[in-house]
Amino acid sequence: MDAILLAAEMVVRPHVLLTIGMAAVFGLFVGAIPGLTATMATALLVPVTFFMEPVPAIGAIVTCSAMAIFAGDIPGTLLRIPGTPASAAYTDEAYAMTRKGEGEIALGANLLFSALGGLFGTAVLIVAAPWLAEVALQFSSFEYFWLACLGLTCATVIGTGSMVKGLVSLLIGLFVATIGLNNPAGVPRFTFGNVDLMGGIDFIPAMIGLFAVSEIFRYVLGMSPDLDAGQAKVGNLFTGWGRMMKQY
Amino acid sequence: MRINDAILGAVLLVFAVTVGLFAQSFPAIPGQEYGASVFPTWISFALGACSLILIAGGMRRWAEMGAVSLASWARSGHHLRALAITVALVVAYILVLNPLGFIPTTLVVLAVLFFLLGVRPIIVVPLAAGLTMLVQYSFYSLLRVPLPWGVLTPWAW
Repeated sequence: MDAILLAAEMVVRPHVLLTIGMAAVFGLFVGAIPGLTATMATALLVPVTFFMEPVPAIGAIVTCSAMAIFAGDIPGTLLRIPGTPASAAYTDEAYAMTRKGEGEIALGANLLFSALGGLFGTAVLIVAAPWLAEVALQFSSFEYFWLACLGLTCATVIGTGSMVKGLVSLLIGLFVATIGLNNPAGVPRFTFGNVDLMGGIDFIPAMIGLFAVSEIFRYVLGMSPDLDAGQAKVGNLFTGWGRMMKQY
Repeated sequence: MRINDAILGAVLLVFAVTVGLFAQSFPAIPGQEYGASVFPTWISFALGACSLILIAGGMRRWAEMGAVSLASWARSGHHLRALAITVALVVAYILVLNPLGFIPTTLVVLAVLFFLLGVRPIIVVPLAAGLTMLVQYSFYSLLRVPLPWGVLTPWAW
């Protein structure tokens, strides 16, 4: 308990809080731009932190990456283009809420549960880090294999519509993952001599192509009915938090 | 717009067979049972199976929905032209970016797109120029992404 109080005392200082605030704004900016991820925000911030004291530096890095991951939801909710890979899973749902005029509730839910999840994860880490590390060390290739299998089958079953089409998109995704040099044999697969393809197809170009380009096509074809809707005022992000807390 | 599952399945089947055959050309690792071709071959088998299921399902519903049911935009010449121009712009951007350079290419592409999407003609060019320079500044100058200069190389900064 003393340690936690001491840590809190080290954080609650004006210059530390100011640094954290600025890092949050930076993370918000980077995370909200589709194609720039939380990892990149952190990588850009690290050289700057060399000139800081340890506590504000670590605070800045943690804040920046957490904020960037949340900020990926903002374009996802408002434009159906996820800002970071982490937001890709529920982009359609959040955008559908915006369509119905519930954009602020969607954004508020994103913010609330991002923060809650982050705090819960931190609490677990504070309490149980050593034991978790022991469990993590037990993970070998077999466990990773079954974990991946579980994730992939879940993706197929949970996906809407027909299961065969879910499987097809899963397989196409697996095929895209085989492109490049990254296989045990070190053979370039499906690169057709293109040097850029040797590194494989990254998550970010794939995401931009799947979400952003398709959204632009949809817009060009005039399928988005909100062309003349103009801008609605975004209301209070904090509306309905009490209800959401109770419900979930 | 809805396309009959049978057509999707047929395209997928061709794709799966191509992948499967192409995967056989990968060299085996000497002394090892599993080489680079194992995973793509499996994927092509599974994809082939899925496409057969899709074809079977699509054939059953062929009578009621036909091959393709067009959405309203697919019959409107204006929308089709807009789509064609957009796709052509993206392809042209890929081809022209390196020889011509980031600033001129982006300027032209953005201006055409804005014009196409009905931005007021007076502000099209200033908006395109402003956005191009903003992206150039934030990515080239701040983030140090090596954007190509192309024909503007003598004036590069």
